Amino acid sequence: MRRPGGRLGGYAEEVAAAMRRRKEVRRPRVRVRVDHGEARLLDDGTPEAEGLLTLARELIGEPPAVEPEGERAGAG
Amino acid sequence: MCAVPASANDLAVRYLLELSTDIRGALLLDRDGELLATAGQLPAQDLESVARRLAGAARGLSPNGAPAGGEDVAIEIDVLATGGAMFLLGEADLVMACVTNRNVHPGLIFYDMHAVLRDLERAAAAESLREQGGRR
Repeated sequence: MRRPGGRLGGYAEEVAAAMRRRKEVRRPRVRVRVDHGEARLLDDGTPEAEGLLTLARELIGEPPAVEPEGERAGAG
Repeated sequence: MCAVPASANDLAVRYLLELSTDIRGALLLDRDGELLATAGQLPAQDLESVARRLAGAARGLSPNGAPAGGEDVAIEIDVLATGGAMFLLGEADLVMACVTNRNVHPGLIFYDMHAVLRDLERAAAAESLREQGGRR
């Protein structure tokens, strides 16, 4: 038996899952592949990952510490 | 490997930008981190320092700390940041890095980078042969 609001709940769950996937995809990450082998993700917070992220941000022209919400709150 | 003329390095990075419109800027360095050529939109200052740190970072991730591209060890690194992505390829005594927007296929970017580095390697081999022929 279907419970009332089941379809709506299903949509909400789908949207929430899509948002989670989108957030996961947009998370900064560092991936390494040595000698055409298997690619591996570097763990967040390791010195190698942090160093490469800093270098990438410098080359991209992105500020090192990204906290847009705090800045927006301060500016507004 | 014999070094190619500096103009060849410049042409190589500019060619990489032509291969993919997603690539905003590119730089080429040797395995020790010496900057050989740059093209496109890159920060104007401290590129030499960035190049040295890129080579160092790649060396740190190579097996046994071998320089990226050295001893036939190819290394590919892709970094996704909030505002874009950085790709680094070490191969054939050279290290190439480029920056793109976030919505790119890493495999395609690395494919183009491999192609350009292979062309440079071939050019270096041809230059070496030409020099040997000139000495005779």
